[in-house]
Amino acid sequence: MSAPALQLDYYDGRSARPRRVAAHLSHDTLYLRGDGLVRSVAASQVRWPERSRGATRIAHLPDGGTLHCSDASAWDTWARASGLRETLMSRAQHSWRWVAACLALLVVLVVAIYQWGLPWASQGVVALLPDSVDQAMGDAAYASFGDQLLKPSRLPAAQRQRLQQAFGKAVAQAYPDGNAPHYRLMFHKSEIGPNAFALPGGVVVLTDELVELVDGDVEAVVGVLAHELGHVERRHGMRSLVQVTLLSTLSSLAFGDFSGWLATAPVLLGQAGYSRDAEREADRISIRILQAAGISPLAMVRFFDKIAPRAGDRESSVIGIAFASHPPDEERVAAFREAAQAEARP
Amino acid sequence: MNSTSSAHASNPAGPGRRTPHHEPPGWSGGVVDSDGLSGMVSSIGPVPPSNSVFSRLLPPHQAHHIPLEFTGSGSEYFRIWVVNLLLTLVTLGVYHPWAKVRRLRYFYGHTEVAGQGLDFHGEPKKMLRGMLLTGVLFAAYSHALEVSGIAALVAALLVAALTPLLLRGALQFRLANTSWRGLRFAFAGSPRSAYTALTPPLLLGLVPLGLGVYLSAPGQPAQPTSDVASIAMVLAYLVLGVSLPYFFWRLKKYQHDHYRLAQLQSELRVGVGPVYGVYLRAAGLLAVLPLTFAALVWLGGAAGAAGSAKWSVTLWAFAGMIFAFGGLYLYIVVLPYFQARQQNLVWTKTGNRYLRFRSDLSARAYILLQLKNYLLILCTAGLYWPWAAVANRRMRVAAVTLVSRIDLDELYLALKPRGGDAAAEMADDVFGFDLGL
Repeated sequence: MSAPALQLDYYDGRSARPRRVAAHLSHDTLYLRGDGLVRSVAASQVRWPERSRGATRIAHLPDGGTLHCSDASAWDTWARASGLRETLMSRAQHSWRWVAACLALLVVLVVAIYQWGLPWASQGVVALLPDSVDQAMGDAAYASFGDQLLKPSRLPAAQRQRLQQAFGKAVAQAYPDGNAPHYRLMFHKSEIGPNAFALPGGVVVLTDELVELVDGDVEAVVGVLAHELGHVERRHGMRSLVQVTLLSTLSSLAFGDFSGWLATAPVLLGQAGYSRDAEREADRISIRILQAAGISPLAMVRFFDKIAPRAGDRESSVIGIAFASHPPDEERVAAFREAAQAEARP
Repeated sequence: MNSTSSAHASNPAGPGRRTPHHEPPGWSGGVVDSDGLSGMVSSIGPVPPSNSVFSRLLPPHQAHHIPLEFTGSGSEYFRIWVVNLLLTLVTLGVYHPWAKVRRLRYFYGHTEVAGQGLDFHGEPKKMLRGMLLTGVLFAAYSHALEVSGIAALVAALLVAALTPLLLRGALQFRLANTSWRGLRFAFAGSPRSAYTALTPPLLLGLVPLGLGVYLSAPGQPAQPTSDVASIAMVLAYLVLGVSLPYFFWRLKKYQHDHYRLAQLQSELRVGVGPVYGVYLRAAGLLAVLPLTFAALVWLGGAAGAAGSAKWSVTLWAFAGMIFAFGGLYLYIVVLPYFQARQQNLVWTKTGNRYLRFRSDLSARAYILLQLKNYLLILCTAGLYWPWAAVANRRMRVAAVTLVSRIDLDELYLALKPRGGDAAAEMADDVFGFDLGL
């Protein structure tokens, strides 16, 4: 036979004693001969080894036997001469050009998944989840905050009612068809300073401190609440939960082999990016509601002016921005100002 | 080596070969004392190899020392990694088991024991099945967590009840699919002993969860009961914390007592004491962080009170840095320290009368390696990752030495799996669970 032969060590899987055999491949059959052994195996049933530097080449036979060749280059020469085709994967990873192409493709894919894939998938998942899930999660979160951070509001009841009505009116005007997201506005004195936040399921918490900070500026409060309603409308809370889950699954698939902890860095970065997008989206909804209610978006500019002194000590380095959950205030103020100007123009 | 271990040597190790009738009488029971090799007990199958190579033991000081080697390279693994990652993403994760097999075959194949690489035989299709089932379990579990406290408790109970079985299945799968010189390894641990080892910590872990559910139940329990429950919860955490090294030891014992290659089975000959030692040292290293933080804050306050605002700010800035980078300290110093110490302790005490291991991983070198890895990963935006994985593996493998009291060439001739062909059959009846152990 013309096919080249290669001296290999054959292990039958029943003992650690190798048998020296000559292997040759012809007509898609692997023939082994030597040391009391004559065997033939269909080449397609053999699990062939991948090319790699240094390591012993090991082929798996279907019955648990193995063929070992410690001379890697002899194996490669034999495999080539015998017409054994390398898998596409193996060829790809041995050419730096292919690897570079794969890397480029990988980067494009990661960016695309991050930009479109994950938001799209999480939106799909959230759409499948019934509202009762949001409700349950929001209630649980509210209950646990409530114990530790939120105290009963000390604002005069009349002021609270005024704010509630102003916001209710704005919402009614912004959603004339009555399709406004369901929300429950809660006033609280808090340990977290001036703040407002929305929980899944529609609980919107407004702290006394925020109302005091804007000196009871009703329009500014309505702007802030409209922003929170934006989060409720888009179910940002649930979406971020789903996104975190998907992101960490992907990240641990990619990086889990070295350090599970470092694999959380891309998750944090990625989630911060999504969170900033969500804030921008909520700002746009706030602008829409304000305008529908006949309130100038400048109300929100006044709000940002008020919190500016407090925000001054926030990190503004590149790293700080990369990990921040909100876009920089300047950017947000500019958006509201621009909306106000666009409105002023005829 | 720990010479205080209780190997009651039935014949003191002397030079030269022993004649068969000097063999300890333990063969009938299948377990033999370690015979002068401190810290070791060996067990072997019921076949009494009275005239085999197993009776011609070299005295301990003449044993062969064969360093393990890792011959993989970062640049090669980088290329495997990139292709794997791309295909995994393109297939939305379905390719993951195939990627894992290719990665494991690379790492195993380049881990050389006495000049022969290990090999991995896992079938991706089976592993996909295992992965899907694990995924379904996990999804069901996390869904239950969101539904209600009671549902979470039931789900946690179910998961706890399944965990020992899953662990054993994963160990069986991994070992049965790992081979050396054509021989498959095996995991001989029974489900029963898995439950014995794991049930106490799992139950203890469930106590706080159960109490939490009880306390937050809608019909608020009366004040005294709720106080008792809170105290019980704190106690449960405390007991769990104090007994963690003990449970870790039980787990390691379950694993390392049941690794098998042909007739040879390994045993972990170490008491719980040294495990506590490793944990305490790691905890001490960990405690440095909050202590330094507290000291800096206190000093900063004192300097401020003494009128030196500049010093006060500097000290507080340092304290702030410790606070911000505490995680890094944990993952670059404390955890690697623990891993190195634990590998040395556990592997040096693993083996049997004929073969055993020795691990001398320098904690300092391993910590420095982590520092280098993290820095380079940061500088290369993550692309250094595969090099880091290879470097870690190389250092951990290269620290291990195989110590054999049998001439290896003779050992090869004598190694025979029990009961005929154990090679592929063993692997066939295990489900494709692979928890990445």
